[in-house]
Amino acid sequence: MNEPPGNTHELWRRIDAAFDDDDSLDPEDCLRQLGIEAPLAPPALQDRLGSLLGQAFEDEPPTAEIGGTRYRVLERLDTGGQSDVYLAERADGVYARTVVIKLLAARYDQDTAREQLLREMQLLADLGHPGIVQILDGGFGAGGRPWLVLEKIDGPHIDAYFRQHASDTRSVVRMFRELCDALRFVHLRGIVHMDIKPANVLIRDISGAAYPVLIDFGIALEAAGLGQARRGVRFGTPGFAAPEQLAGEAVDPRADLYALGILLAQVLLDGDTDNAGRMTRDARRRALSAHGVPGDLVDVIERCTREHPEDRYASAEALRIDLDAWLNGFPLEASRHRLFHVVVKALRRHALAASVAALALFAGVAFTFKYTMDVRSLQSATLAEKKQSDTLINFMLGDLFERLTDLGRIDLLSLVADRSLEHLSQQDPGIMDDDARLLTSAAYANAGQVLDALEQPTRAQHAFEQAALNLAPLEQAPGRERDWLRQRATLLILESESSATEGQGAVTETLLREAVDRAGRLVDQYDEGHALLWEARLLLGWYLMEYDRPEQAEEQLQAALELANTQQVGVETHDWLINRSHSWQALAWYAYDYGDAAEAEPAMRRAIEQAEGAVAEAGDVIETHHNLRIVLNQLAFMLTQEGRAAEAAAAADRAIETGRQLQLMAPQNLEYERELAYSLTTRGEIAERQGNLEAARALYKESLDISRQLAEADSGSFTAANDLAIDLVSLGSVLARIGTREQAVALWSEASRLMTPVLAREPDNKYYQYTQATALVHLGRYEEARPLVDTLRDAGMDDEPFRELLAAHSLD
Amino acid sequence: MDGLPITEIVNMDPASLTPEQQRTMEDVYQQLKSVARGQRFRVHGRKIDTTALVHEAWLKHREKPTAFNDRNHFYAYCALAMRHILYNQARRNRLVTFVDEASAPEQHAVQDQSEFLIDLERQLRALRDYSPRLEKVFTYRFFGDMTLDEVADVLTVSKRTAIRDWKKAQAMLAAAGA
Repeated sequence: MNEPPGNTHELWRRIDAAFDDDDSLDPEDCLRQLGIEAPLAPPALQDRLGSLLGQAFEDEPPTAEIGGTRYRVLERLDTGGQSDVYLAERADGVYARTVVIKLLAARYDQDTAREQLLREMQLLADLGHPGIVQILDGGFGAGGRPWLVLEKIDGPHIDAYFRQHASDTRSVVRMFRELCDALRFVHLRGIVHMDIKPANVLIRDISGAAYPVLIDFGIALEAAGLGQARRGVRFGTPGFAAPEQLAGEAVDPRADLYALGILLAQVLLDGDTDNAGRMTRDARRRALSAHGVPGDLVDVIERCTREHPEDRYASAEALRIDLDAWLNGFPLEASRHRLFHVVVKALRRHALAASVAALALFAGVAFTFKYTMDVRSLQSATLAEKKQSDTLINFMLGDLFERLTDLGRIDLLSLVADRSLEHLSQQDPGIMDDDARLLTSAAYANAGQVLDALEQPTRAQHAFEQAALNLAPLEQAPGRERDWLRQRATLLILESESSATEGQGAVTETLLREAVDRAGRLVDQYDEGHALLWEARLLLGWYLMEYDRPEQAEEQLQAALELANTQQVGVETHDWLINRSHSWQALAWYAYDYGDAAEAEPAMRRAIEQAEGAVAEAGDVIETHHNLRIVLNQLAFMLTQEGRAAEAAAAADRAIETGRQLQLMAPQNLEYERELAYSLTTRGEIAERQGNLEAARALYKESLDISRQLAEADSGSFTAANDLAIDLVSLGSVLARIGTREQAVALWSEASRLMTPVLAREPDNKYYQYTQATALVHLGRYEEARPLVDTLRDAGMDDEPFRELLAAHSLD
Repeated sequence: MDGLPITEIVNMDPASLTPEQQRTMEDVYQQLKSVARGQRFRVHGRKIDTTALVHEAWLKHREKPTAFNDRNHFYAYCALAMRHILYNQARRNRLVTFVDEASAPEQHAVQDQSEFLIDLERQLRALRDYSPRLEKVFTYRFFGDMTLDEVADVLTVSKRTAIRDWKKAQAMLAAAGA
């Protein structure tokens, strides 16, 4: 490579020889003698290379400005009103790393302003999140110009990215969901970005997956650096900056949501406009619709970009939840009525639903809270640390969930779940190996379960989605089939519970069928996962019963029972005893609703037998008592329906007794309190039918006290209000029969007052209609009751007590 | 100078430098830059007086307790660093797209000089293969503005030999460029 051409080499030899012969020779003469016509290089550098020298030594203000010798500028990337941006590399030989250096325009001469800015820089430097550009270094250069050294992000701007990659609206929304996560992270630390626009969101490729990265916190920094002086100073990019920001008023995170909404519109409009923020609101809406953007999503953009901050989404989190909801086909926040509450909790008086709720409780897995602080400190973890932290999260979210569920303090897990998700979202997917992915998947799944229990279904859904994403690579990984099957089945079961409470019937069935298939393979091939298979079959059985497919349901339930019966009762004896109890319980309801009703009672008694076995085996485990009480309650219900009052009373008494024990064991568990109130009401109904009005009054009264307490603890909950109203009506009717009608009327009136706003919000809920109708009929307000009564009759909700009530008031 | 035989690091391939050599090079490089930023070196438009630059750098350098204590070896390092700096600058210039019409004449000169330097570098590497000493003499003289007395001192040859080598190198490089 360094070899000169042959003739050059020859020339050199001749030149060499010529000077060796006569060293007084002049170079020009020498060349002439050899017949070469070529000018000599000017002897002085500056004559020949002046411009290059000038460029090399003068055109480099940043190194001067950043005062140190650490960075060497490679090229100028951008010069703007606010800053100069350079591509640079570490020049001190410590790290070979290409970085971006940003030199802010403002000068800071006063110490206080400098300190303020440095504090803010530190704050930004502490933001360890894959969705946020990392600040590596910073300081003040000559003349007080602040400089920042930033991680270099390789990737296109977000608008360019979506122009290059043919992609649908969903993938755009998914990208913005990630952006919301990053923004939320920033906002939680009290920072407002203030300059979100296409040029400030880069798309980074990590192992084939695209992630958005928020860059350029320059304006945020300068705004913070100004402190109090900031008022009245205008920052930002016209079109993207929120109105209050352009007006120089104080801004909060909702200013970023405005810009994010414009950015979403800009990307969805796909190059049709240079600046979607400069269109009028109406024009933007029309353009989006013309582009085929679904109306719900246009609403989301509209809500982000309202004139007044208080009319926008309250936080990046709220926006993300709506984007999630949109992706999942759920109603958006504005139209959301807490489906979980409405659909599931409202059914509590319905026996079948009660069992499902009990099952969901039982099937729960979970955690403790003494480690919450630790999660925070695990933010920038290495792979080894990451695995450790995931194991910790899984312990908290997995093993402790159950215990805290029993204690009725899942609320304690809320913080853990939040922190865990925050931690998980910061992990770099690029560095994970299969073990790490497995742990991450489990952590997401556990977090999803907790969120589901906390009635945050869309967040839960997001977590399950992440769990599946992290797990996916293991399906094809050699030697990992067993791990994959186990985690996949676990995830499907958790997800099915969430989708069931969301009323997603078809999805639930698909999930459970796959769970049965995966767990079945795990059992067949590796002789493990029997509990998973049992649980999947049992849940599928319940599901099929709910959707009136009895034959298929029975097949699943029988298979579940057989599995439970053939399991060796070993170390965790009570677990399988409870599983057997659950299997018999489900079969009892199957017989009651679809099969031979005479078989229901024996099956339920088998369930009780197994439940008692579990209590005997592990009486210190709260869950065993809880399970026993549930089946006793259900037996009492069945016997009451058959008119076998004495036997029903005996079962209810035992249920109450077990309930009081549980009250002592887990005084904060509201679910247990509810269940106790239910036992008391059932026992009260029996006493009332037996004519023992005084006993009935006392039982109803005790139930009412509990319901009142629960309604207070969960104010705003429709179901708690409904439960309370039911107890008011029941106690009222007994008091009326005893002869204290005045008191009765007061109770019925209170019940009706409670139900009026609930029905206004949920006019189609049959259970709420039932409660209100009963109260109104008791009060003699027949005109108001009439439409409700008609509806209930049409829906077949007029059970025996209801018909008796109508008859007593001559309404039949 | 201490420890590092400069005669061994004329090789311009950065990968062939030891970490210590890289640090030394870096150090000289930064000193040159910091001196160049001083106002008095910018008086004639964009022209830089390299001689003054190098001498000023040495004066500043002497205030430090360690590193070079031999002025001529320090100059030699400066020459190398200068060659390094300019070569890298020239390579970068090849990758830049200029769109600003107003600065076109100046940019044209920069591009022209960059091509010249890249060509010169290639010839110097060939020359090193032919005769390492010739390459050094040219480097010190051309990039470092060193006197032939200083060059002779660094290379421990007679001044006469240094003069002859300088003339040889000039003629050879001109011949190679023809």
